[in-house]
Amino acid sequence: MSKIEFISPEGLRVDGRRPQEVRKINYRLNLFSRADGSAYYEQGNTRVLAAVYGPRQVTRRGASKHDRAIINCEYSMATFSTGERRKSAKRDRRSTEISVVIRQTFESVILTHLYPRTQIDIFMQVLQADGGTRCACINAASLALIDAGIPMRDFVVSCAAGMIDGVALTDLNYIEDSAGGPDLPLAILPKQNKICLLQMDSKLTIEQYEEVMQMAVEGCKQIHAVLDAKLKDVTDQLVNKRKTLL
Amino acid sequence: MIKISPSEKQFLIDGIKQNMRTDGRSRLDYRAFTVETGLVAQTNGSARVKLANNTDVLVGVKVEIGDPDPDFPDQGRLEVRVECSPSASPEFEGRGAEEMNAILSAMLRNMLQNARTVDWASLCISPGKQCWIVYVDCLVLDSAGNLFDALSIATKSALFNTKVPKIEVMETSSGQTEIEVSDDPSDFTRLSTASIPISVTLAKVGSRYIVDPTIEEELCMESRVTIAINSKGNICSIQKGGVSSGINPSEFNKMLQHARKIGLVLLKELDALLDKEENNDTSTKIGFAR
Amino acid sequence: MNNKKEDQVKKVKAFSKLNKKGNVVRVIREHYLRDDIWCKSLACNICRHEDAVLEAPEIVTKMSKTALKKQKKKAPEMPEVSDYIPQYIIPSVDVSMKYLDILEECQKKNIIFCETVSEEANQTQHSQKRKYQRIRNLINNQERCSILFANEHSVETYTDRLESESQKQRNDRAVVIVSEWYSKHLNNSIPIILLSDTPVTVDPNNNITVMSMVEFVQGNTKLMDMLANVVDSTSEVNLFEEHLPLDVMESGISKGTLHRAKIKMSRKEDATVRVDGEEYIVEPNRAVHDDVVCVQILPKEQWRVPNSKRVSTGFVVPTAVVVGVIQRNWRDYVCSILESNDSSSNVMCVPLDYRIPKIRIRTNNKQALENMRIVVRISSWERGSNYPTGFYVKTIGPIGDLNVETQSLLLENQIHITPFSKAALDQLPSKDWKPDPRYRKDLRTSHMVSSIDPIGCEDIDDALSVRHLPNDCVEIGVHIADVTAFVPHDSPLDIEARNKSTTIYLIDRRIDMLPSLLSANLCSLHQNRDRYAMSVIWKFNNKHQVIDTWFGRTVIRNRYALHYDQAQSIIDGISIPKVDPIPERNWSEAQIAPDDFSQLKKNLTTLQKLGQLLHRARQDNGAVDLESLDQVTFSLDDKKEPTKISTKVDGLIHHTVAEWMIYANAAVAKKIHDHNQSSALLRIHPQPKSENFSSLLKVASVRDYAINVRDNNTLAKSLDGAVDRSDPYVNMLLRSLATRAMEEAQYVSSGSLTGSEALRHYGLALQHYTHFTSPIRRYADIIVHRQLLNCLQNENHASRELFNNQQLQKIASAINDRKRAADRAQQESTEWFRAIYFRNKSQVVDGIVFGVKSTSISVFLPQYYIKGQIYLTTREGQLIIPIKERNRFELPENIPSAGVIDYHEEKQRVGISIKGSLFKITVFDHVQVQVKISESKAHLPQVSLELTTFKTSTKPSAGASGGCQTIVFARLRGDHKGQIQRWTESKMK
Repeated sequence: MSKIEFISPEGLRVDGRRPQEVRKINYRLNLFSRADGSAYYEQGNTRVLAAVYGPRQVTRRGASKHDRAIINCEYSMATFSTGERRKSAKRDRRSTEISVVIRQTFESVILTHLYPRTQIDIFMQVLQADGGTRCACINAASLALIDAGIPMRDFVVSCAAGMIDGVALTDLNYIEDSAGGPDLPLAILPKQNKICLLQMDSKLTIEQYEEVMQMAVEGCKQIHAVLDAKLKDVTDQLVNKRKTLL
Repeated sequence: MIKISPSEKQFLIDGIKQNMRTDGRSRLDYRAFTVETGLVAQTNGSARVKLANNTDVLVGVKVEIGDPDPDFPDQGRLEVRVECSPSASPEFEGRGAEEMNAILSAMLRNMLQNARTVDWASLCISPGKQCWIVYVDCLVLDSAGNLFDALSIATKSALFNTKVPKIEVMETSSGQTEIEVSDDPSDFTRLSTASIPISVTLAKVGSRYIVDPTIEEELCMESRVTIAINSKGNICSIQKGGVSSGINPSEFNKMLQHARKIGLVLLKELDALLDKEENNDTSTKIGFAR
Repeated sequence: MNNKKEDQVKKVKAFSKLNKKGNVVRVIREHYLRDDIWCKSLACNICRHEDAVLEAPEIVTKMSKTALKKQKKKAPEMPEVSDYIPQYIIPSVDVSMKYLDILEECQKKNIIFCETVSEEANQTQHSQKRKYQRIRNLINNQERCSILFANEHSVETYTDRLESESQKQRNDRAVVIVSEWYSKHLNNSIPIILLSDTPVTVDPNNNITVMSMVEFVQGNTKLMDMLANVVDSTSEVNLFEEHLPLDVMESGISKGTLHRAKIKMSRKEDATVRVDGEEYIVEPNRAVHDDVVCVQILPKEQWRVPNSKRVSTGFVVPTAVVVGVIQRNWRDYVCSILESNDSSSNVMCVPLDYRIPKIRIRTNNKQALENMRIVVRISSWERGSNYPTGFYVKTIGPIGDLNVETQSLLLENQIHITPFSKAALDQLPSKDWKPDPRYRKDLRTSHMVSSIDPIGCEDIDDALSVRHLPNDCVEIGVHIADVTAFVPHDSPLDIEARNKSTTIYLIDRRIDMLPSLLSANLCSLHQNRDRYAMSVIWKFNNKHQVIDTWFGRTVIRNRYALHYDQAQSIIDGISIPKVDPIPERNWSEAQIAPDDFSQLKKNLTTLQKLGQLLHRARQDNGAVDLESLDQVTFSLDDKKEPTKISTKVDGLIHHTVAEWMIYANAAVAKKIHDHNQSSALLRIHPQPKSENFSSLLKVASVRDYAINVRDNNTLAKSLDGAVDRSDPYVNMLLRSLATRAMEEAQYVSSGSLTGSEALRHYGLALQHYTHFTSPIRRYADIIVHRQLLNCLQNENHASRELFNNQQLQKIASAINDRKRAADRAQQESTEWFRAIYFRNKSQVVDGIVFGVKSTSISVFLPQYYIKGQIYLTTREGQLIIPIKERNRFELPENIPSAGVIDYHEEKQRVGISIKGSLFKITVFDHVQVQVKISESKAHLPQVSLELTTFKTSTKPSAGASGGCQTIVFARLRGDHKGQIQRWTESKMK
């Protein structure tokens, strides 16, 4: 049995990246006709779809808030998204947990007080999972929200980092994630430099934590740069299509 | 939730009477659809069908090794599942889509579960002990009417695209069977999908019937007939749905004839498209980013 | 930190894999290609040099001729500095996998390993230390200036697999691309060597040379050796079947389809295994003699004819096949190397033991090992190799040297002679030890004790005493040296003695079980010394029945230490010539005071008379007196070369002493067994199986002697009757054949056998028997002494024995094994000396035929007590004509002879016809035998026998020695000078 060498002495990871490099990112907005905002986001082999509906009328009467919009999140994985087919369970624990976590993230970012007594739905569907799905979903949801035109305080970008064999790595893929080292997904608001989501499992010393945290922040910044660049182009295109400037 | 007002409804019905639908098609015109295969690398086969950029369906096929059906010990198995993603409609959130999922799954299963659609015997590994199980998972991403047809086209394409890895069964000295998978990604067998049918949906609106209804038209229709046609022109399954009155049997026959004609045309086009897809290099596929 | 994403190209690798649950899953991997994979060469100007490792050429500045001359004058011893152009070596995947040790050894620098190679090493599982780890070590070794080049992740050298090629071809092509890239990258300034055994094509414009491994190692003999040695694990030449894994074998054994057995190899015959009492021939399939193997018995249709029958009898015999080895019983083997002319470091060693195959070892020092006996161990035997591989342990010494050959013999029998440890020697008392008579019966003045031993005997361990009592009663005492008084249980001395288990008597030396201070001095019952003893004293009434037996610890003084002939002469009243003293042993003949003479005579006569009565009683019970006719004595000269072989006959006095020893042994056996049924150390002799007697019966029937083998009584009586008045050897040989049929006598713990029959001694016809009378040279006797003491001290209640049944049985088995090994070593020593004797003294002697087979006869030479087989045909079946017949019929030496052999099994007769003359050889015929030795360097020289003529006679010829007495077994004691015999025990007693 060959023990996987996660980071070679030459400084290359299993897929050829260096430790501080994030995977290749690609995304597209406005895929669906019925959703108010939708985005397709891929980071490496992880592919995620996000669709946003809202603000719209609250479906469950009792849940509406008089001074703000309620956010509703749902995270689900397609059965063919993982290497081994998983029996789809929308209500399984992991999906629920991630849904709640993402909801809390966006609740703090979306300007909900602008839309009282409404509901904003964010639906995320994972098409292919290769590590870092929760971060990819957050990024996709951000893009979908932007596509839907819902005002937010800042762009939410998310990236995960970890440590294997004493080396801090950014953006772990599935193999590296399964290695058993600590995994730290982080979501920040880049302009304001604020953290809106931080989770970690396994254990780290304080010094290691500092290092990994730094890596995650760097990773988020890298992603933000990529997303932002393309977003400007998309916006320009949209504006040109309309041929008027508001 | 799409709602439609009575005047809109009237407008639609009148338009259909005059062979003019809201998007400019005639009654028996099909929407242009695009098919893309091999998008999801994690699956053994996948396809995405878009009907005029509105209806978006993604089908992934995974094959796994498992126990065969005790009634058919020397055949492979098929498991079909349809899931409507809430991105298609907010009412599909949580358990809202269950009914829809069940109906769609059942319909697909009817179409495919037939012994003649796919060569099930070729999926047997060791009779009575192991066989390939084909899991067909459909994901409805965007719904703008006529999910049945979109799903059937996508399923056929996905099955066409499916690559079953070549395995070798060996008997070890202790009498157990061991399976070895070929590491070579180009070592695979394909499924014979020539006999897989596709469905054509006819909706009766007013006194006429139309093919490939949009979602607004679906809200106006009285009844719906979904007919599955295979490449030989044979009818593989029929399903009648819809809320209101029944259909006259003679009218029904005419509907069948039309469905058959349209189906054959569709199939030919689909086959041509699939072949083109096959010969396309994977690296030029852009997939979702198009 | 380079983060140019647009330069990176991403590839997705997707394939199917079998996961742990047995399911087939899809696996997708990303694969990024980078542009920042540096070449790591100091010679490169394009890449960054931060961690460059590969050397750059050093061009010496061209000096002018005058400057050069000046430098030479100044410092003439400085070598000419020339340009140094390093070569970069790129090994291909195959070369790296197969010849990694050559790459490690070759000390060449600048090796570039491709990532393709290291991935291959990581995946495939070879030996324990994975190749990947070794590649890493090579790279980490800074002196080697080697690197791992990540070609799979470099955008310039990555290549996809083409449709037409296999993964292997793609890997090879990737390495070629790397070499071409390096060459171009460095502007052809550095020569690149691509190591590949498969032919590759490279662009000739580049500075690339393709070398195969043979070319690469040219000129370096060590590497060329290693190259020749590489075991190609992918080669399809598998000479042997694969062994089954252990769990499969075990399940087969428990199911009954397979069987476990010990494999026995033979010098001339097929290897055999014994399963459920049946013998099967097998192909060893890499099993070595004494290994425990797992066999599958073949069905009858697949049985085959044994390979090694000289003339194929054509009959199939039960056959089995070895499917795996359960336990290897490899030990140290004494070998000598096979001479060969090639200079490789591979050497074949021929073991001394014929049954072990040749062993291949690797050594650099072949010259030092030639003509030496060396010790070699086997490490493995691969499928593709004809011979096992092993390694050298140590050298014993030159072949032919006496000490060396003796040591080899001992080593081969796993007898390790070590000097006594300090802890053991510390336990010995001082030389001036005096006995303490408290707690012992003092017989020093009350009893006249005398001992009877061979001439020159130093270790006297038994003595006898006789006292005549009123009413015609007589008290006889047997006194045995009390070793247990000096050797406490479980002390270091005791444990060392236990490990040795017995004193070993080789022809020229003796290996003592106890230190000589004890064995030759303080324990030994020397004349006129006070010594401790363990005594058995019987009182006989006038009807010669035992009325009392006393056991106990005593102090005695041996009045007279007589030798055998001396004792017999006293009894007979005939005087014999005096024997010269032997100063090296402090021995001189006992002088008998005239006052004691008549007393001594009376005592000895009583001993002899009573002894004979005891003997007769045993005979009536069925005791069988047998001998094996193979003990001779050697007279050695100063150089320890044998000058004479003599056979000696035992007289009545030997029997007398022996009988009393037997009686004492039996009495003690009964005593300890009665006290402790479960763990008394006894000596048993099981009844032989009836099939053992087949050759005896066959031979006896030729002369119409009816031998009844039903039990020991009938056997003894019928043997006594099978006599030929004209030829005393007939009876002798019949007895010898009967001896061959006997089972081995063994020590056993009484609790491990059930049934009273099991404890009987067949040969001596005694219900219980043990060894008690020689504790100085046998450890079993020491245990029996202790058990007897235990029994005496705790007469009335059960006591805790020193060993329980299980422990004692283990010790008994170990003693049996050691004894067997010692016997074998003694026998091999005898054969060696015998062969040395005949080396320059080849002669013709009289021999008697005692067995006839279809192509050979067994003869016994009474002059030298030699037994051997004479083959009548060569291996191919050609008749061997003796010299006299050749001369008579004028047959030339080297033309195969035309003759016919006719074999009668029942009549034990072989008829030979040559050129019309008919010769017959039957059992008990006398033949003329030429005794020679067959020299062999690798093996010990052996005596070989040849017929000089086919003519036989029925009477012994003039030169034969003979005697009608029952010739009894003799065994050696003492060491080199002046061989002295002493009759002790035989295989059976």
